[in-house]
Amino acid sequence: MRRHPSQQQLQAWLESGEPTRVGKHIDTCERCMALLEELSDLGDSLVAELTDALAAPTDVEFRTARQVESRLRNEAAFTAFLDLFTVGWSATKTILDIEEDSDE
Amino acid sequence: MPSSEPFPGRALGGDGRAPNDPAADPEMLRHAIDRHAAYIYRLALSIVHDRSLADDVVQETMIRAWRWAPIEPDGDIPRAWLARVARNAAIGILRRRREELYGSDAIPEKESSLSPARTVEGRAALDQLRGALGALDEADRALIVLREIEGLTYEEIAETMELPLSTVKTRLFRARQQLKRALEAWR
Repeated sequence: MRRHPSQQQLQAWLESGEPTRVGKHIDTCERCMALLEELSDLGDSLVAELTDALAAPTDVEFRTARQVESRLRNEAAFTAFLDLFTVGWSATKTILDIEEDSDE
Repeated sequence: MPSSEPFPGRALGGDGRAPNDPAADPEMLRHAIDRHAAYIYRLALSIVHDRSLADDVVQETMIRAWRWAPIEPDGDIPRAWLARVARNAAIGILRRRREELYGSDAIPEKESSLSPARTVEGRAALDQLRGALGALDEADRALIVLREIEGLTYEEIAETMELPLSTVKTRLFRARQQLKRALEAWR
């Protein structure tokens, strides 16, 4: 598509994604891309509503910190348990003189 | 913060971080949560449509960030990196939820378009908007949130979504149009 699509064609493409030749033109045309950006603009009031609709709870930072802390402490405790087990096994091997390589 | 004690460092530094890596610093986690939790929550909520699941996404993202995030010269985490991790975490959580509910054979390829009549009760404006958002697929919702609410640049969104720049723009513009149409249908 050599010529720029009309505003109606761009509007139709926004609605339906058709015709594909308009889509191909847009991919390489900054002017039409800018016009599409303008045509599809949500406007300040809709963006404000959108922000309200997806608002995070006011205590999201506090709750996240508490939950992450708890989760990491559980992981740390589990790791410490594994360390104790490993140390215990090493000590047992030393005391009983267990050799892992029994080929000799 | 819920506790004045430091976060347990062992669980952080042991995951491939060098001991002197600034991201392994517990203070970095506190800072990241204070600065980014609400941002991640909004993005997560737009994808998972469930406040409890959105909480899970925020936690998961923050823990991953603490362990693996690249750090910018000013000590912060790149927002595009966080958004990509959050989006992946949200998709993973949704997938696991679907598997629990329907079994692994019944996982849809993408979020199905929700019927406004079933998803929204009452006519409150925010519910209408949530219903209209629900009519978009997960990727389109994320595009709208990242651009319209969080103000990421198109380049940052392309990095987050792992899409070509022109695709980000054309898809975002069509998503905005769909959102406006869906909202008109509601109101």
